[in-house]
Order: sequence, then C-alpha cells, then structure tokens
Amino acid sequence: MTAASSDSSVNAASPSMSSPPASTSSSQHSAPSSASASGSERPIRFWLGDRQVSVDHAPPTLTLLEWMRERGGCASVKEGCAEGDCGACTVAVTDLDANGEPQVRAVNACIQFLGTLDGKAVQSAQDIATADALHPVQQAMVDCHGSQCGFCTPGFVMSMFALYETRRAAAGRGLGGNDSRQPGSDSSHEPGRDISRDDALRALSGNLCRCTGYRPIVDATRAMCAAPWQGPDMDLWKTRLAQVAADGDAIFASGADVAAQWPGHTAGRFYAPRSVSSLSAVLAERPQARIVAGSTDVGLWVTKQHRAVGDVVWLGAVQELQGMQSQPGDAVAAQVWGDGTPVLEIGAAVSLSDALDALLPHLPNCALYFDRFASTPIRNAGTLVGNLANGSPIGDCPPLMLTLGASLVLHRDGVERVVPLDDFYLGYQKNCLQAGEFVRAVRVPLPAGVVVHAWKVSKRLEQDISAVAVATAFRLTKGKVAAVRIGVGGMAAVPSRAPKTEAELLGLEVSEEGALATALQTLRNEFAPLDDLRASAAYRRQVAANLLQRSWLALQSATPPDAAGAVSSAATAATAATAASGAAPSTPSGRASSTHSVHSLADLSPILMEITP
Amino acid sequence: MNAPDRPGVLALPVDARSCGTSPAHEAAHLHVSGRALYVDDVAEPQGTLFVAPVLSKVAHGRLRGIATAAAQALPGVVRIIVAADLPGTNLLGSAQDEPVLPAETVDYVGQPIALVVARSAKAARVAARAVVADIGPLVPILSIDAALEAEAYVLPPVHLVEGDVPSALAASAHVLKGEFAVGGQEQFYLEGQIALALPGEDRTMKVLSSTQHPGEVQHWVAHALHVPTHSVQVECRRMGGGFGGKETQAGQIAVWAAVAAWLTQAPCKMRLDRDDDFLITGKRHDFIGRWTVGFDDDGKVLGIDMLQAARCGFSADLSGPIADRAIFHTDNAYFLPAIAIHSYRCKTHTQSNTAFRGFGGPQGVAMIEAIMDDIARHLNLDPLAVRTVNLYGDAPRNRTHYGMEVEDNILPDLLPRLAVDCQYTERRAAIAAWNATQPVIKRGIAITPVKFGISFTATMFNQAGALVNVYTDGSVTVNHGGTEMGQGLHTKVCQIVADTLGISLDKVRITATDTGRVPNASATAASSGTDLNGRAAEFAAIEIRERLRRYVAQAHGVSLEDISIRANEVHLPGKTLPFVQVVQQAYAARVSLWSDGYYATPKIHYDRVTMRGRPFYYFAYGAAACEVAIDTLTGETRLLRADILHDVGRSINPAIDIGQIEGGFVQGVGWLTSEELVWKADGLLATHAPSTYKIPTAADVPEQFSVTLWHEANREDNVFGSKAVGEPPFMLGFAAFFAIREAVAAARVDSADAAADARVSLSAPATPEAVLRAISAVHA
Repeated sequence: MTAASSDSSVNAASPSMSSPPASTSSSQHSAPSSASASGSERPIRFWLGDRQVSVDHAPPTLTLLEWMRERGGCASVKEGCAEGDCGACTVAVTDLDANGEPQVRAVNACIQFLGTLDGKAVQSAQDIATADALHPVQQAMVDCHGSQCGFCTPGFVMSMFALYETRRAAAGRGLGGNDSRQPGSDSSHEPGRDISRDDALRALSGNLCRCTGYRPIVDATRAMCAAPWQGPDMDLWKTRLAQVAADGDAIFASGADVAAQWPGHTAGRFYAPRSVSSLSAVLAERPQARIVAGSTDVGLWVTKQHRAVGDVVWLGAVQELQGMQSQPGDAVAAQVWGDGTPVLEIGAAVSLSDALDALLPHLPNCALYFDRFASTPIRNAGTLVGNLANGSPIGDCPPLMLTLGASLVLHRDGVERVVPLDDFYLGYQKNCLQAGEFVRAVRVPLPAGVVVHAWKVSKRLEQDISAVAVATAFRLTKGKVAAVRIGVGGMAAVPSRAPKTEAELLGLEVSEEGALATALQTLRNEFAPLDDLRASAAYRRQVAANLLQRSWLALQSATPPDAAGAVSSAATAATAATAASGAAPSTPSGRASSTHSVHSLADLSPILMEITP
Repeated sequence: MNAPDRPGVLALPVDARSCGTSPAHEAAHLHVSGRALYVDDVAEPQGTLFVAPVLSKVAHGRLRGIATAAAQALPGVVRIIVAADLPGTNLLGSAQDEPVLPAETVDYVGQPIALVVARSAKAARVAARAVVADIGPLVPILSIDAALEAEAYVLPPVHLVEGDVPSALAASAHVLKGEFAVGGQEQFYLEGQIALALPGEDRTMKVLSSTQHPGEVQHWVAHALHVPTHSVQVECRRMGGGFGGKETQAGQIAVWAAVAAWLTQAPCKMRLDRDDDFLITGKRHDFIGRWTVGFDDDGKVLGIDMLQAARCGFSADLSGPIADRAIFHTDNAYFLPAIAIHSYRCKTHTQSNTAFRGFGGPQGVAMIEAIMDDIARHLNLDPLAVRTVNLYGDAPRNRTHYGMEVEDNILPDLLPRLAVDCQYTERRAAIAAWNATQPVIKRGIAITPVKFGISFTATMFNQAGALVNVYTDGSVTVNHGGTEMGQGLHTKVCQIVADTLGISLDKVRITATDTGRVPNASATAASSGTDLNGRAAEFAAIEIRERLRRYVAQAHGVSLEDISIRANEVHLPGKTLPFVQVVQQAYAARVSLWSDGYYATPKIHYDRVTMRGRPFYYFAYGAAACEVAIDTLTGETRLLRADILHDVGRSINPAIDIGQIEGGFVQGVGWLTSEELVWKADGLLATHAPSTYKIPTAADVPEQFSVTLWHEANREDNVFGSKAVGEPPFMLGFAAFFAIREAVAAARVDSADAAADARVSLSAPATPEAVLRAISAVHA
C-alpha cells in the first residue's frame, strides 16, 4: 500500500535526506526566483466542515492529520498507524471531477500533505452530524452496533460516507429534471440505495477494526442508504469550491520560523504548478525538489523516517496531467503487439482509482488484482504513474504494465521521449530519468486477441503488499503461443520481465499435457528472490511458477477444444452439488467476467474452480 | 462485604427491562461522530511537552554510554532523560525485573534507553533518532529453542503431573509423538499506548492513561517518583482497544510520561508511534508443544506427556500466570486421565510478552486440539468423533488435571446441537465429493469446542468495588474499578444499575475509571469485568434501592414487601410516585443517596504449590463450525462460512455479547492465519506496523457468519444470570485452523507422504507459505 507514489527523484544521485533544516531553504526562499518558476506565494485555502480555512507558512510535508489534530480542532480524526494502513484517519475529500461535478472520496489524512488540499473540501466525522441528529451513516453504525472501542469508528464512518455521497450524487443526477418522477419510483427501490456486499467491502477495504469482526460494520454500510437521502444540495460544493479555488502556481513556502511553529519539521517550498510549463520551470530552478503525486510512499518518509524531504513539487494541480486519452497507437505498442494496437495514455496525476476503472473493461481478468491493490483510500490518493515511477520491486502495477508493453512519456522542458517500461528500471530504486525530467504519462497498449491475467499473492486478501505478483499476456494462434509476455513482482530488485520463460513458452500447444513443465522450471530458476518477512525465496520461486500455471490453466479452459467441454461439465456438476448442499456460500453461476465480484472464494480463482485434470 | 441476600440463580431479582435487551454502547453516539475523547483528544494544558523513546538497536549488550548533545541541539528539544536522571526506583514489573530505563544492560531491540522531551511529538521523535547509544554487544538468545538449550528462563519451570502417565502410555493401543508451534500475536489496539502526566501541587501527579489497570499504573508511577500511592491519581475514561496489551504495559508508558513531567514540572504526553509500539511492547506468547500421547482405538486419550515452552521475552511480566493458564487449558473440553505437563518460561532478548485475550488459554487449547486432530488422522476417524468421545462427562470423567470438578458442563448437549444445526455431516460429505473432483481448490470443515475457566487464577484479584450516586434530580452516576476498552462493560453496568434501581437506562451515566474513587481495583482482564464490577455496582444500587424502599415504607406506612420500583416509578398499594419525587423526599428526610458496593467471587481457591484447587468459579462454553477453502497453487486460504453456538448464560446485552463473540472469533482466526510475527537475525521485529503485520480485514470475514447464543442461564449465581464473554470466543477460531488442516489433508491424500503418515504438519499461523509447505510436508 505504500508503493503508489510518484517519488521519481529528478536526480537520484543527490538524496536530499541531509539537507540542513532551516537556513538553506530559508535563503532560497527569500531569494527572488524567476517569474515563471513560482507565482506569488499565497496561503492554501480549503473547506474544513462548514468553515473556510486558510493556512500559510506551513512545512511542505506537514500532513493533513497533523494539521487537523494539532491546529484544526479535529480530534475526531485519529492516528492509528501514520502510514495509510489502518484507516483511523480517513477523511472525505470533495473536489470536482473531470465533468465538473463534485466527487467525494475517502483518503488517509495521515500521509496526505496539507498542500494537496488546496481548493478542496475536507470533512471528518464531527462535520457530518448536525447538532440534533446523527448523519444516516452514523445512525446506521449505532443501530447495527458497529462500534466497540470506537477508535477506528470515525474512519469507518468517513469511508462509508464517501460511498454514501457518491450514491447520493448519482441519485441526484439520475433524477435529473423535475419531470422525471416516475410512477413506482419509491425511494426504497432506487438502485443506488442497494449496497452490495462487494461494494461495501470495497469501501471498507482501507479500514482496520480490531474489535467487532466487521460483520456489524458491513451490515451498517449496506443499510445506510435506506433512509431518505440527507445532505446539502450537491451544487453547494460547486459554490464552495469556487470560493477556495486554487489560483497561481506556488502555494506556500515556509522559512526559518517553521522550527518555532512546527518543531521537528523542516522548511521548504510546496509547489503546486498548474501547467506542464510551470512544472518544467520549477524543476529547472529546483532540480532537488521532490516530485510527489499521491504521497502514499513519500508520506512515510516523513511520518516514519522523519526524512527532510526539502522542497516538494506536487503534480496534482497540473492540468495536462489529469486526463486519460485513447490513442490509435504508438511505436512501442506497435513493436510489441503489432501495428494498430490502441493505447490508453494515462496522465501522471490520474489516481489509481480512476486509472484502474478505465483499464478494467479492457482487462476483465484483472478485476481481483485491481481490488487487491492496496485499499480504496490509497487508490484514491496514489497514481498509476507514481506506482510505476517509484519502481518498487513489490509495486503491483509494474508487473502488469511490463506484461502489457507499456511505455512512459518522459518530459523535460518541452521535450519528450518515450521509453518502454522494460528499459525504465535500471536497478533497485534507480531509473533512467535524467535531471529535470519527469514522467508525464504512461501509455498502456490494449491489444486485441491477447489474454491478460494478473495474480497477486499476499498474506491477506486486501491491502497487503505482494509476496509475489505475476502477470501474463498470451496471444494464441491456432492453439499455440504466438506471443507472450510475463511480468513479475517480488522476484528481483526491480519489477521484471521473465525473458527466458517467455522463450520457453513460444510455440507451445496450449492443450498439450505437460507442455508447460520446462517453462515452469525455467521460471523457478530465472530469478533469485529475497527471503524476507513476506515470504521465503523458495516460496516465491515455487509460487511464481504456480501462477504461470494458473494462467496456463485459464488459457486451457478458455480454449474451446473438446477437453474444455468435459472440464466445464464436471465443474458444473460439482458446483451444482455444492449449491444443493448449501455448503458453498456464493458459487458463481459462471465465470466472473468483468464485474467486481471478488470477495468469495469462488472469485479467488474463478477460472480454476471450473477445471479438472 | 455488603452483599445482600442472594437471589435465586434462575429468578431475576428485579424487573429487568434493560438487561436482556440490546441498547447501543453507552458511547456509540460519541464514537460515530468522533466526539468520544481518548487520552490524545483531551485538550492539552498550555505548555504540554511530548515524550519520545530512544530505542535500542541491539538485542543484548552492555550500555557504555549515550550521546545526547546532537539531539539536545535540535529545534524544540527540552530535555533528554537517561537512567541516571530517574527520581525513584529503576525497577518495575510484576517481578521487579524491568528497568524504567536501562543503566547497564540492554535486553532487546526496541528497548527504550532514553527519553526525549520536546515541544512537539514530531520534534521529540526526530530528536530521538539523533541520540546515539554506545552498546557493547553480547550474545542474544532469540528463540524458544535457544532458550531451552541455554536453560534461560524468566521464572522456574513448572511441572504438573496427574495420574500415572508412563503406565497409561504403556497400556495404550496407540502411541504418537507430535509437536505444534503457535505464533505470537500483536494486540493491535487501534489506539496506541498513551499517557498524559499532569504534575500537581505538593508532589502529586495525575495521569490520564489508556490502561486496563489504573491501580497498577498508580503503583508504578508512585514507585518511579518515589511518592506514596495517595500522591498519584490515574484516570481512564476509555481505551481504543486493549485486548490485554494495556494490562501491565500501559504502566511503562505512564511511568515514562510521569518521570518526564516530574523532571520538567510540565504536563507531558507520551504517545507511541505505531512502529515504536510494536517494537517496545510485548505480545501474545508464542509457544511450542511437544508430546507423546497414548489413546485407544476410538481415539480416547489415555495419557499425555507434554513439554510446553513459551517465549516470555526479556522479563517475567505476566508470563507466570499466562503459562499457568496454558497448563489449565491444555484439557480444553476433554477428560485427560493421566497427563504430565512440563512448562518452561523461556527468557529471550525480545519484547516482554504479556497478556492477550485468552491469557495463555489459547496456547494450551492449541496443543490438545492439535492432538485431537493427529489422533483422528492416525485412526482415519472424523475429528469431530474423536473430540466428542473425549469430552468431559459424568464422574469420574469430570475431573480436571488440576483437581477441579467440571460441574456445569453443557458441551455434550451443545456440540451435537451445533453439528446438526450447521449440517456438518452433510457438508462434510459434499466437501469430500468436491475434493475428489477439484484439483486446485480444496475445502475442509471442522468443529471445535471451547471450555474456558472464568476467574483470575490468582484468587485475590477476584474482588471489585463500585460507587453509585443518586442525585436529587433523579439522575445517577455509577463508577467502578473496571475499564472500558470497547467490550461494553460500562454499558452492561449501566443496564444493571438501571434495572436494580428500577429506572430507565437514560438516567444512568458512567464516569471515568479513577483510582481516587474506587481504590485497589483489579485489572479489567480475565473476562471478569462484568462479573466483578457489575455485581459490585448491583450491590451498591441494591443498597440505595433498599434505603428508598425503607423510607417509603416508613413515610407512607406501608409494608416493605408491597413497595417496588420499576420504570422510573415507585409503586406502593394504591399509589404510584415518580422516582424523582421519592428521591427528593428521601433527600429531605436525610436518607443517603449514594453507596459503595463490593463483591468477592465465592467458592474459588487454588494452591500454587500443589497446583490443585478450584481456580475458576465456572466455565464458559462454546463451539464453532468453519468451512474453508485453500488454493493449492499458492497456499492462500479463505474462510467460507462460520457457525457459532456460544454460552453467555443469560445475556445482559445480546448485541454486545454477539459483538464480543464475533470479534473474538475473528481475532482468533487472524492469530491462526494471517498474523505472523517475524524477527530478523539481529533480533529486530521485522513486522512492526500494519503494512507488514496483517490483522483481518472486512473481506476476511465470511458472508455466512451465524452466531447463536446458548439458551441457559449461568448455573452458578452470577450477575443477572450471565456469563463472562471476553476471552472464550477467541478460541472458536481454532475451527477455521483445523478446517484448513482438513483441506490440506485433502490436498495430500494422493501423495506417498500421506500414505506413510496421514497427519498434517501445519503449525500456526497458517500463512499461505505454511499451507503450501504443509501440502507437501512429511509429519515431523
């Protein structure tokens, strides 16, 4: 969960860990800078509950949680872990989506830098109840006995609230104009009011509770939309956000006085450029500045390692980095999968939530993989590009993106080059970015006729870091492997392809018994993974091969020939027998296709449930 | 003792309108709106300073010096405290074997060796990393086996022998050797350890502490400051979870905060960062068990010889009573006619392990349940049949190995009831059919029982006091020595007081636990919170109620037995008076409207030397049926369904009791599956944050999750007929673990290894890696 940031150091050779705290930054700060590099300094402005807040002269890495608890009067926001893993600090952040509509999302306040709230609205559990009554989300928690010690509860409430508001906004849009009232549109039957178990679990995936066993919290989540919608008109957010709208480029800077106001923090600038040209200018002037997108990794450098990060350049306000565009193709994709392979270009500021949602229809077999990536609040904050630029060997996006043949668009001062992801990683946390260069976007090929799978293994289903991840992409011709790419995580110092194994697989007949044995043996020996707290090297090697076998079994079952017929009939019989005995909870009627149906065993490996020898 | 005449066991003494219903947790409305105040949320007095620990990076060594100058020069740093600065004793802990700050020797990675006091928590933490300790390394002992080898113990070994074990083994048709290891467990209270120390006038100190045992914190702080106990006041309104982790070990945090406050004469707050909390504080003891067991053709146990060894860490803490309780619960639900248990309390250079829900009981239960499982596989019997045949029964099969007769055994009824209700037999057959055709996903089902002894095994702790105040507007406060950590104790006590006084629940407010109100209170532990404090509060309320009734009888000239109080009204022949009116009149007539209450558990006694007696007032029972699936390609597991039938006596608050059962069960499943503590070779705990240590999430809990309460009241006279519920359900998690073993057995069935030995070599936690290994493993 901590591997999703854009911490692409512009100069890997000069870590900023030991930069002197106040004096250097202070002098830099007072020195006039070139006009394009930093606009006028100004406070950051945001809404906190029902009040407008303005903060200036804060350390650039001050977290939202620290500010809320120590200055903002928000004791309702709890620190449970300060690393984005427990959810006790969850708050709801509202901004405008690509269509200009308010969107409410849960994020972890503990690793969110305060500057990233500029122009947004923040709510915590103390903000959503009125003086007289609890919010329906809160009331549902009380009614379902969803709190015991209560410490995690405000965070759960806000994760639930974000889902509630998303549903309420959709319901509001669905009702549309004043003539859309239809007979029988009884509020209790609005589809938006039904919260499926999977939707509830996804909303709660970033929150730990040690007391309840979760059952009553899931019940409350599923029940919370039953009462009439409660909350301000969604248009209120447009008005409010307009009042705090971000303007100008540099947001704030802190000087020598930061030590007096925030002892323990270091001074520096927080840059929020609003265009790529401004961003380039800042990077030209401050090549040491730390680029941050979601801060889901860099946040921990601050909260856990207490590193002095120095100046921070945040990508979240750069307009050109927000979008996703389908493109007819590009050279790298053509080289990997052939001419005309379409590409989805995803900007560096696009959240993992949005990026994965956009990719899912093209990668239906990856639904579970996407849900296992960290948690909802982390996916709301972190970015796909950040996860790739970070280059952690245990990040979850790199194996899949290597498999797909993704490339990165690197930008420096108006000049761009496109680097295949294969060539981007040079070594442990080293990449080929040059000074002043940043990753503007990732281009994800979406080839036709290629079967893509991604598998993750960790101690826990949700919100855990991979011990092993394996992604495979196969193109078959007449039942034979015509093209294959394999990406692995957790197996080496960097996310890697498995070229030797790929070579073994080329030309194999999918239906042939035992065809895979040599490739499995090759994959077991292709890497020398680490022994660590997540798994032993031996386990990683064995499981990497087993996951390739899983992909292979999936290919076999997806391939029509006669064998598959026998396979699925046996499986259907077994499924039917189970269902009749009432033994298995939610056996799927068919293969889990593109829908998010991930939390039952059957969905753990939907395809394998249908396979017999 | 001011206990009134005892009511009948099954007849409730009052018109119970609240008890037996499920009002929400007394603070639920505060929890959900973020308005419940935890220690860190209380407004800090002006000038509050913050304390951060400097942690040892060496597992064992001589402390030669601490360089503080660089840290002292950092912004915001006020003072750095080392052992030489301490105002009082430098020895703490139940065995007086822990330093406040080490002066000469460091004993684990993570041990606080100095304290940094600064103007912000951040500044203190930054500066703590700038303190450099010069430590001359010594050879550490880092595992149970290494400690056994070195005979390094925090307390002497204990041997309990019942019956003639050698003869029993010799006479057995079958004899097996086996072993089982069970991992430790981090409490992972969501609110980390914290204390706020406020210096007062005349050498006094007030401490707000997140603790299960304010009285112990009070004693420790007094010792550390070298002041009498009366000079220290400790208050705890609520904890954000405890689970045993704040029974003794909240004490050190409070002492560190208090020492800092004493030396700076400023309010000092110490809130541990989560990673520091993991590194500093103790966890559930990991255990290894090795045994020889003899049994007959039905799987009935005839004799057991067993070694139990616990990792205690660097100091004794509560390891003695914890390892004792493991001995007591090695029978779980089963009659063991001959058994010898050799219990070793191993000293290691790691965190000092401490209380955690179950308090050694789960580790003892683990051993016997592993034996039941091994026996069943060896004999090719249904494990449920082996468990059933070994259950306690009628005399002479009703005597525990520590000499207590099991008088209230309901398992012979409860276990088959659950098996029928969850369709165990049918599902077991369906699973076998599934496993015969499915090569990749294997399933398993298991039912395990639990019998858990209720009382502190140290008899003296089984006492409690409470204070009930009735105000002249009819509102009531209740205060008792128990602490609220989420378990709903305060809610239940309010219900008990409301029903006893005959008033509605909304009239009763609980106040923060405070050593100045109820002194010498025991820890809120051993599942005993409601049994002890609830009854003390009941007695206090009865005292006031009876005074009111006597006053009304006198004032209105009616006989006492014709007067009752219920639903905020006092009923007497031909008349009904509002409760508040009676209260005001009684006050005017100078009737005392407040009372204490005191309770000491009857019947219990225990001789530590002979290890015989009746340490428990009664037993709580339950059973769980779990179905799991395992992925034989990765070893990952999923819990598919759980059915629980559990005994809470007559429930005071069914929603709270079900919450305890569900929460305990899920915590138990976490302990046995995903929660793995891993130490590096140098003694550093590598899993020291939620990013690396994985407690269950919502998605780990099965959709089919049914909890049913057993229908009977407590057969012993206990408050409102209830039974304790905190710890026993934790052990229901074994059903999930042994269902995983079933699935592993199904995956192994065709292998040559399985043909040689059908037993499953899988210890806990059953991580994916452990499960995958077990599929191909040969039994040790």
